Amino acid sequence: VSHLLPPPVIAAAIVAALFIPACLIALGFGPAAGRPPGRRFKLSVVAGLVGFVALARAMPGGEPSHPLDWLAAFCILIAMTLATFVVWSLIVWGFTLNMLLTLERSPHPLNLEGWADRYSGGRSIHQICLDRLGILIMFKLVQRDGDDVRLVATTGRLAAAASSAVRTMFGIPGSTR
Amino acid sequence: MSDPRIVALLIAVIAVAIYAVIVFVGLRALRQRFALALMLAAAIVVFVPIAAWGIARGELAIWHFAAFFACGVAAIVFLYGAVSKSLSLQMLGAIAQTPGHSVTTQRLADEIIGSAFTGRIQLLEGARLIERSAQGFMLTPTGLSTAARIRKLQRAFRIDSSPLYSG
Repeated sequence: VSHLLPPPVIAAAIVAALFIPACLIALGFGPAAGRPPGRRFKLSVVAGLVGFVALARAMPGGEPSHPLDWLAAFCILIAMTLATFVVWSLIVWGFTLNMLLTLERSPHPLNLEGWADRYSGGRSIHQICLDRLGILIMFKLVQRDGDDVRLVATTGRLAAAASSAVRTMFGIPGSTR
Repeated sequence: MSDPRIVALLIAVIAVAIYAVIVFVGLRALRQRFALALMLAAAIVVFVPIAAWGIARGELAIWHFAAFFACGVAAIVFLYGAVSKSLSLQMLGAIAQTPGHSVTTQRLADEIIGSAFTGRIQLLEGARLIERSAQGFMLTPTGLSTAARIRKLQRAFRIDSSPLYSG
């Protein structure tokens, strides 16, 4: 049975990984409440990493951990971070979910333009575009010059090629849906 | 006998490769429908027999295998979500396909955001969450109860959903 027990470093990673979604929920309450969702997520991941380091140091000593123990521990933390982000981004920024909630908040039926205006807080479909474009600009994949957007020669082309290759692997049809 | 941790890493790499192939083929066969269910089912189908064999033989470090495999599965699910749903990546693709790799923001708004709105409306109509009338779109009773459930969940966990990243 002893070979079924996780090594101390992996046990620490499992506990710390569970701390990430727990912290994400806890940050909505008490004096820490009111933070933007993106910052709340980042803080939770940092808390998970700090928790892992603290737990790994506090674990009872024995034979030193093997490098593959540490690799497995970090894999657990990465897996939980990715899984939490997928769920969090869907609940917070999900396009379809927010369209549904926007329509629910409207006191009357909406046409397409009215729906888009309400979705963007009265700032038009163009504002939604600039908002999503902000992510690409932040990662230096595109540059914006007034109304024009240009692909950054190195990082932008590489990211676009990688994204296209991954889409092909998953068999996702077309470039836009 | 080899170190069970090294065996776990090698078998996890092979298991993730098998998982990826199942997902790639499955998504094509199902025409991108039931993607999440497929990914979860494939993970269980690949993981359980290998884990059972590993526990029975005692030559596989089971926690290491689970950690490496889970990381691979999470990365594949994350990648699929990003490339299939992210409007930002769709914009990047559209810009890359344009001669000169340059477009106007208005064109991106019309082509990407406009078509995303239309596509998601079809999705919501298909799920019978919304319906059209002469006055415009409105929620169906199912849509109203779904929206109420989402709001309840968001209130319970103090989640402020935001249509825009910039708030």
